[in-house]
Amino acid sequence: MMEYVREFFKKDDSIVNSPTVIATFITAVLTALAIPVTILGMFAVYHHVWVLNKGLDSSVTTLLLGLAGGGGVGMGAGYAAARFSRGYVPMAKPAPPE
Amino acid sequence: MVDPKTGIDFPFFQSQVPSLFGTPTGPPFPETYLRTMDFSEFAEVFAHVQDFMGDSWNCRIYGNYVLEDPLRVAFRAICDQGLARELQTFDGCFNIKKMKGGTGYSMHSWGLAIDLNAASNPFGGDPAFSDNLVICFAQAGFEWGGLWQPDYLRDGMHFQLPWIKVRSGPLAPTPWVAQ
Repeated sequence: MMEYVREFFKKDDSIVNSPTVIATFITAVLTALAIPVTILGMFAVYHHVWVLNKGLDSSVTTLLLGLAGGGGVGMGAGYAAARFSRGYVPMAKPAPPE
Repeated sequence: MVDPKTGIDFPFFQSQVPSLFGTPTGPPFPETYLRTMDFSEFAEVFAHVQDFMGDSWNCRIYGNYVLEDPLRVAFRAICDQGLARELQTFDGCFNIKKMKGGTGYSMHSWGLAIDLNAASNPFGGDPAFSDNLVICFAQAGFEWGGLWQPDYLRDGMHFQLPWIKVRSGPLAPTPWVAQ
């Protein structure tokens, strides 16, 4: 993976700063984050049900749910950042009539 | 730099195309942006060029009007450098379709790309255009598909106005603004 990233940046000796590339990298990072967060959330829900069934204290569940929720908010912010990195693009002027 | 004719801040990138022109399948798109562009001033030098049906090309292209001025600049440079004989076929511009090797719409869907000499520059194959001809297009602001990586995604026949990324070197597209 790292080798691919290095090659990607080296290619054509180019300055990789297009909105597409920036958004792609942000999306890749978010995807990498989303997988453990999703797994954590699933464990949290499972644990929450288990704790309720046992009638036990749910502080660990609260912590895990908080982490999962925080991850979700972080992902939302990251998504907004990815969209923002493309910048506001006004529509092109219409073509003159034929 | 914003082009006064089109209102577009050049260079623009593939990811910005939906924001610039809307969805290509939507009703406002064709009547707002698609026009028949006439390049008949080059009819004499391009008399040998055929269209994708094998007929003589009529020097007209139905596509996004944003293409017209950059294409004219590229064609003029090709003629000035005596490269007109290198163009053999015009293989299409506007065509709503998905990207080869991708999931989004092709730039042909917005009429922002043209294919030339498709038979000798097949998708995924070795491009046959000379560097000088590609430079003519690059200096008019066109991104060339022959530079795309990996090799199986190379598209030597394909020239498009939206860039994939900022490049350097002689074949890199030049930011374009109408004079």
